[in-house]
Amino acid sequence: MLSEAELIKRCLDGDADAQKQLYERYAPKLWPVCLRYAKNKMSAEDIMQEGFIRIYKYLGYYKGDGSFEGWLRRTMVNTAINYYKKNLKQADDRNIDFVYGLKNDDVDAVSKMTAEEIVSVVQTLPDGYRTIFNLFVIEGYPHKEIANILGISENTSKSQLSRARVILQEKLRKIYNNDEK
Amino acid sequence: MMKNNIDQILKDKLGEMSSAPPAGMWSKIESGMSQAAGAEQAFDQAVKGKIAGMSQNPPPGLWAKISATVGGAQIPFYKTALFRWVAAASVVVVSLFVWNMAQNDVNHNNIARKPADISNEKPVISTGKPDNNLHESVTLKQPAENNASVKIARKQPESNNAESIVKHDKSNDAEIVKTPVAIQKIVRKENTVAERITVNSFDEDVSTAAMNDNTALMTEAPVKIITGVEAVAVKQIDDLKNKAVVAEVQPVVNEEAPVEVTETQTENEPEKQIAETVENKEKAIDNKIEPVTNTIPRNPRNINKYGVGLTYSPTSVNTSVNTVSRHDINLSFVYQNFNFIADLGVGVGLSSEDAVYEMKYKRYEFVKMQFVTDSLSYKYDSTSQSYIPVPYGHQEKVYDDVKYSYSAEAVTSYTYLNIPFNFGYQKDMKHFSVFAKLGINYSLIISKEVKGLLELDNQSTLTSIDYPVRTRYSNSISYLMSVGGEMKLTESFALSGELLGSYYQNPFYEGVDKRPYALGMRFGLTYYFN
Repeated sequence: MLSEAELIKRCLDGDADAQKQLYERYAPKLWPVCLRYAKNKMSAEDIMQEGFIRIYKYLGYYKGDGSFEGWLRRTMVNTAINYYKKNLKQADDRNIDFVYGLKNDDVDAVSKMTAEEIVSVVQTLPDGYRTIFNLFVIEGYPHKEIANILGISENTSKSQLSRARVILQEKLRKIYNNDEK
Repeated sequence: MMKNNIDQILKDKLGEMSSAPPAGMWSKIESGMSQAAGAEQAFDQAVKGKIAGMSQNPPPGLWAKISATVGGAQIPFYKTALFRWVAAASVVVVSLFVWNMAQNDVNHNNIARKPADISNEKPVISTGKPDNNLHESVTLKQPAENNASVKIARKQPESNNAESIVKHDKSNDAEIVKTPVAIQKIVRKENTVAERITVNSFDEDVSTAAMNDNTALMTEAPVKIITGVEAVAVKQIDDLKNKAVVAEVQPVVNEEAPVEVTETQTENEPEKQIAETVENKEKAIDNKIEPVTNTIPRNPRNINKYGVGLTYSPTSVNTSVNTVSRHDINLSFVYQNFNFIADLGVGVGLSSEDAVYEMKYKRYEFVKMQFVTDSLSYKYDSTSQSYIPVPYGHQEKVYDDVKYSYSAEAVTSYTYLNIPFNFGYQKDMKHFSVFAKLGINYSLIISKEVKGLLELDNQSTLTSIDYPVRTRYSNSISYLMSVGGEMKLTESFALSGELLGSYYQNPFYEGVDKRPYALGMRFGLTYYFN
């Protein structure tokens, strides 16, 4: 198996076999990223396809700073964000006064569900909520950066995250209760 | 009226009222906030822990879709259509070049193929005297040589020792079998005689003889340059027929006058062609007038010719960061003198490259509705046994600068000013020439344009643009190398095509050490002043 550096070099040379090898090596890690940001599997495939094209096209920009997998992941996340950017702006909700609460039981519900089940619930969130939830909770972006990336205000990011949490909580609770029965 | 008065009284009474909230209120609020924050954090961690490290194979058919589109993003040069064209053109150019070289070597090969046959022959005209037994004349002319004539003639008898001179010419009426001389270059001195002749198969003695007596002999010796001769004679010995040829350089009286020519002899039909020429010569030899057997059209690209040319050159520049497609159109002034060619031009170039831009801007716009307190009234709270403030006011729209970022793949177009200079060697054929050039090109970026970025409206202000593509140097010098061919369309116009490679003196981008190289083609249309 090729080393990471050799794989990158051969991809930059346009080696089709190396490109496929890079895909096979990292696709299992990147596919869930696409699923999380997409509203359905078809959209996830679109994001994955566009993301890999961007990866091959801009591979020359990766200078070895930081982990390669992290760079791939960021590229895929950026692709997903661009994919939904238009929708995100349309769904921008500036009401920041609406506050929800969470219960500790919800943590138990989450811990007893599979990753696939959680991802499928995340996919049901509205585009804006889902993107902000992923960026904040999974990628660890602060609200200020999310606001910059998505072109929304910081307060909007906060409010949509709160709503995303509550919607997720409700949906996860329903699934969990059904499973319990 | 009464109602308004009451409102005003209440407002005045309660407006300045102040009362402390119940004790412990803040701790309740703080506790509630803390619990909420803790629950949120725990929920986030639980979800993240479940799905952050998740690994799942994508659908099986996805790679097929990606691989089908990846080709446009990163194709090696050798897989591009441009390369296929370049390769095909290379084959054509090389084939023409080889064919041309082979044609030039026909005579030499014909002579050299039987070295044993002639190696034992002594010089037929060893005394340096003319071959007096011969009385026929023929003009030989290489197609690529112009404006000078070389004659192979059989001299009228002038002395009694002719028999001893032409030892092997038993019939005393020698035939010309094939062209025994290959004149590679003739520089005319004024308008009289040839100054230098390169002749195949002459040895030192023969050249001396030729220098002295306007005659020379063919032996097995390799190419020999004879300088300062006014005439040269050649005799070819055939092992069976004892055929002989004498060649003599004749002065050219007028540059513009048509010169006599006989195409290079081939093995297939040399006798027929030579015979025709001989027949013409026989008619003309008495009055010393050179008969016209063929007239060479004036060659538009030979001696001190000038012209103007328009070239178009598509190239693919490979930097260490990306591949840039570049198109150059240049107007050139062309100079040619024999095999030397040179051109100096000026022109414009265009290139474009894709890049992802991160554009940040702020827009002054509606942010939210905000409650603005106009007045406070006070309400008695029986629990705390105090008055609590109740605000009265209205909702107001709040406007503020909202920061946006916009990420887009945009095309950056550059326009260059070009100053190219090339020089090289050209091998001329009748209607076609091949050449190789070296050169240098100076380029200066004179404009830059980014297409595809968001166009801001009046309410928006651009704050920054991040350029993922590194900053370009505005100046560049590249060294050029090309091979190609030129085809004469008319006496004045010629069409050229060449393969072009260049290597840059300096990198394209700041902070990048690797120097780019470029491969491409150049097409040109040239007008020569006659």
